This record gives sequence, C-alpha cells and structure tokens, in this order.
Amino acid sequence: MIKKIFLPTIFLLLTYGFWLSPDFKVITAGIAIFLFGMLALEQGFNAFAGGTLEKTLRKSTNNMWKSLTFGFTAATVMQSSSLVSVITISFLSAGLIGLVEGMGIIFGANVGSTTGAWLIAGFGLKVKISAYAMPMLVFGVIFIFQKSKFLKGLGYILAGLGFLFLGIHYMKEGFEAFQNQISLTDYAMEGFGGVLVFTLIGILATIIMQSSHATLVLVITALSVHQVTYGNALALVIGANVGTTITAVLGSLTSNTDGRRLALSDVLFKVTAGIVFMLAMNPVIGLVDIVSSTIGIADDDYTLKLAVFHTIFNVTGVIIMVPFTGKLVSFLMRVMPTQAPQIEKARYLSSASAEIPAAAIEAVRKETVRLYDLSVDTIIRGLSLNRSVLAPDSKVEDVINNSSKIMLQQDIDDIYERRIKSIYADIVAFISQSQSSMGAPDHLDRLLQLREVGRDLVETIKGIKHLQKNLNIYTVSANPDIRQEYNNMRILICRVLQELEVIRTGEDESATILSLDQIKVEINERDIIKTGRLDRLIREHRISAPMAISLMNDSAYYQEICRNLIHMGGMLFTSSDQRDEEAENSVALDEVEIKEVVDEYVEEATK
Amino acid sequence: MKTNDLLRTIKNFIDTDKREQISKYESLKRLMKKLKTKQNILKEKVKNETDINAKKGLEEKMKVLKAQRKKGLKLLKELKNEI
Repeated sequence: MIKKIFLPTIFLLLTYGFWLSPDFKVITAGIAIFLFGMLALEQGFNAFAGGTLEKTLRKSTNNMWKSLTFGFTAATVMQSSSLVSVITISFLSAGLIGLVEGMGIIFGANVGSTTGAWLIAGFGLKVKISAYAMPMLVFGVIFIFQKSKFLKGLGYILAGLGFLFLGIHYMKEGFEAFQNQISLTDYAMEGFGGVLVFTLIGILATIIMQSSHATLVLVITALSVHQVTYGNALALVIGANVGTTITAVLGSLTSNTDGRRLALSDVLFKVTAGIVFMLAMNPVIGLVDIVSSTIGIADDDYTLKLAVFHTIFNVTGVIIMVPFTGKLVSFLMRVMPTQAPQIEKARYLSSASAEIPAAAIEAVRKETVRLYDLSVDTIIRGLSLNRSVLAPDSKVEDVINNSSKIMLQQDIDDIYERRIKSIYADIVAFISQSQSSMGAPDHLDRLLQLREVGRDLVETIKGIKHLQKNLNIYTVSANPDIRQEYNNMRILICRVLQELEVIRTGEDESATILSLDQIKVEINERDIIKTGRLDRLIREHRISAPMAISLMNDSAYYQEICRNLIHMGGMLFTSSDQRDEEAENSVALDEVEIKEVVDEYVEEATK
Repeated sequence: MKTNDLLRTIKNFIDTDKREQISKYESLKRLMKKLKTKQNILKEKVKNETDINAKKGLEEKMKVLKAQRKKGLKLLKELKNEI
C-alpha cells in the first residue's frame, strides 16, 4: 500500500513545490541534473571496467597510504573533495575499486581539500572548476556519438562531470535567495552553545551553497570584518566540513550498496572529527596557535590560522579513522547489508531424497517441471503474449495476428540468472550427487534425461533472447509481410507450447508426444528458405535486404527453439508407463520420415 | 491346457528376453489401437469440416497419423515374427 502511494505522493509534493516557489524548482532541477550526471559518470566508468583504468586504480590504491595519497592529489588538483568523493562512489559502483580503497581515497581527499583553504587564505585565490561544465557537456556529448567504446566511455565521463557541475550550479542558484538572508552577526554566541550553533550554521550554509570553499570564503570575509569571533569562525569551519558530505550523500543515491557505505563512511569521518573538535575546542585553539607560531603565522592573522585549523581538522580525522578502517568496514557492512538478489532456489530437491532412486527421480522431475513452468513464462513474455494464449481452446493464430501490442521488454539475462540458471544449477548438482545411489541403469538414464530437459530449456531461453530484439521491431512493423513472418514464428512456438500443455495435463488422452510430430511437419512446411518464400519476398520488393537477413537468422532461432521444446517435451511429459513410453518413441517420426510426409503433402498440393 | 501350450507358457515365463518382447508387443498393439481410433475421429472431422483452412490442417494431421501408424504396424509385424 505504502509502496503504491509513495511515487504519486512524491509527484504531488513536487508539483505543489514547483507551483509555490520558482527557487524550489531550480533546486530540484539541479538535484535531478546532478543525479543524472552521476548515472552518466557511472556508465562512463563502466566502459573502462576490466581495462587500463581498473589496473591503474588498483595499482594506485592497493594500500591505505597509496589510497590516501591518491585522494589527496586528486582533491588538490580538482580543488573539490566533494567531486573526488562523488567520482570515488562511481568507481566503487562500477566495481573498479573496493570499499577500503574508496575510504582511503575519500579520507585523502578530505586532507587534499585543505589546500583550498590555504589558497583562499593565502592568495585570495578561488579555483572555479564549475566554469568547465559547459565545454565538458559539449565535448562529452560529441564523444558519446562516436562508435569507439573508449570514446563513448570518455564522453559519458565528461558529460557526467558536466552534468554534476551544472546540477551544483543550479542548486547554488536556487539557494542564492536564501544565501543573502544569512547574517552571521545575528547569531554571535560564546561558549559551547556558540560552537554548536555556528557548526549548525556552517552545515546549513555549505548545504545551501553546495561548496565548503564558498563557506570558507564567507567565514574568512566575515572574520576579516569582525562579523564573527575567531571561535565562532572555527565552529563554522567544522560545520562546513560536515556539510560538504551532502554532495557525496546525494551522489550515493544512484549507486549500489557499496557506494552508500562509502558515503556513510565520509559522513562518519566528518561527524566524528567534528564532535571531537567541538568538545575539545579550547585545546584545539591552543594547538592551532602553537602550529601557527611554529610556521611563522602572526597571532592576529586569523585567516591563515583558519587554514591551519582546517588542515588540523582533516589530518586529525584521518589519524582517528585510519586505525579503525577494518572496524568501520564491518560496521558499515552490518548497518547496510548487501541486498541479495532474489534468486529462485530448488523446492523439491532435498539431500534425503538423493539416496533413494525413486524419490530422487521424482524430486528431479518435479523440479524440472517447475523449471519448465518458469521457462514458459519467460518465453511467453518474450513473445509479448500472456500465458492465457496457451489455453487448450485458445485460437493462437487469431490472438497473435490480431495483437499489435508489444509488452515492456523483460531483461531475459536477469531472469535467466535469477530464475532459470539457479534452479538448473541445483538440479545438475543434485543429479551429480544422487548418481552414485542409482542402482538400475534405467534410473540413471532417466536422471540424465531430465538433465537434458533442463539444457533444452536453457537453450530455448537463449534463443528467445536472440529472437526478442527483432520480434519487438517487426511484429509492429508497417510492412505486413515482415509482420506476418514474425507472427508466424510466434504462432508456431505457441503451438508447440500449447500442445505440450495439453500433453502435460493429460486431459486429452489422445494427446501424446506423438502429437508433436504434426508440429514438426508444420515447421518444415513453413520454412521460409526451403519453400522459396524468402526469395519471393525479396524479388517482389516486399521486404528489404536487411529484413531478409533478420528473417533468415531469426527463422533459424525459432526453429531451434521449437526443436528444443519438442525434444524436451518428449522426455519430460512421457507416459507414466515405461513400456508405453517406449512404444510412443518407437512410432514417433524421425527427421527423414517428417521430410517424406512434407514432400508427399507438397506434391499432392501442387497436383 | 494342452501339454504343448503349457510348455510354451512355462518357456515364455522363464525366458526374460522373450517376456520383454511380448510386453513391448502388447504396448505397441495398444498404441496402434489408440492411433486407429484417433484416425477414425479425424476422418469424421475432415468429412464434416467446411472451413478450407481448417480442413487442410486436419488432412495434414491425418497424413502424420498415417505415417506413424505405418511405422508402428511395420514394427508390430517385426516384433510378432521375433516372438
């Protein structure tokens, strides 16, 4: 229920917000663009997974010191720890680095970001990397249009970074209205209360301005005109450090569990250091004074002292956190467990039944029937149909020829991994386990037959995957000929499944595996190449050459699908009596006999 | 039961291979009977069907059924000779 109303409620709230405030619209658009940038960035890094980038990253982060140095250097060059955090999250999501390496990079980046405070305080210099957003987007999109995988990946990375900056830019713009309302003198306070309030203001200001550098500039300016006391300014810096994690948190929204764990580790780093510094403000001020006088900073040069404080804050954070990395990782694993994908498991295969031949065979049979059911669901959906089309009284031809709808494409690879492969793997393992307890050769043969059924089903699913792509295009094509050809493929696959269902239920006594011979004949009869239909369609310009190639390939796929299904059905839905089964198999027509029937029929038809 | 018949029955009972052949023969015979019934039903259906396409489909089914029966009858004959 909550799941159902969640999305509409969010839409309603957002719509109300858009109507209420134009600034809100800009802020949310900024967040959306930022998140889109994250997705593009991840896709870009995915293109490089398994290659040089992965190797380089591994080499540069294979121990904590290397990771810290990597993060430090990256943040110094980019002048943004948030950006480094976000990129690290996307590295992690793409599987290029591990959580520990990611944590090292982020911790190093936090120290690297302190160079910004030195630049601001020392030279009044502010590196504005956001100015590169537009060129990055333009170059990125041009690269995305290229065929080379490398350039495409690079394009996604550039466009991703461009969108990140653009998103941050819009968020800043949206918040500008609120920014002017922040007057630090209104909140001037002494003691721990002051530290707490100003830390919160620092957090808020950084979230609003989307940059701890911007907050630092604000603090330095306020300090130089004595708008804030030195103590309050330090609390603001703590707040700026904590607030800057919002970018990483936002970035982790589109990432996997590891990415979220990394964002949380960043938050924990900043919050822990923040709490320690808030509690020990006076000793820290003393330490700043000592360090400042050691490196020759004047007592009243508060702006440079602020840079010293910022550096001590982040270095202390690293010193506190690095020894506990292992514990932090296990804590994060516990707090954010990996969501295991919903994988179907075998229901009937128990180790107890593996020892008793009859029980083992029955268990495998039941499990294989279940595998068959799951496969049929996948096949039917792959053909953009509903299972009701397989009802015995359903007129498959009419249903398919009159349907012009294509269902939402299912991810067959995912279904195969989660539902089919997992069960089949269980069946194969169970059969291997119970093989030794099979006394009679008949029993073993039956088990191996059932294993073959599973293989046929797996092959069928793979065939459907290949077929699906063109099927979805051509079954709604404006060209009636190609549409009919693809519908014919769907019809025959459904006919096989429909016949199998009838045999399986056993409601029609006359329906046995022998009934499948009829479909074998039909498949042969309708062969687009052997019947010369394909040549005719090309000759009469009714289909294009690319269409013809698709038809040739897909016709091979669909025939293979039908053959696999028939072969499988012959083994799975056999008669319960072994002798009857043997009799049916001996009468079933082989390839040569099928061809003879087809030839005879064609001959009669031409007469 | 005559002595000869009795001896044959006892011999058949002792001979496992033969017993299997007989059982195979019986199953095939049953199947042939089933197919014959199915063929008769189909024949009737073909006769009564007015739709050309449906009739074509049924005729095709008949052809397959005939081929299966032909194969089955041949096998049945072979089995009978072996027994």
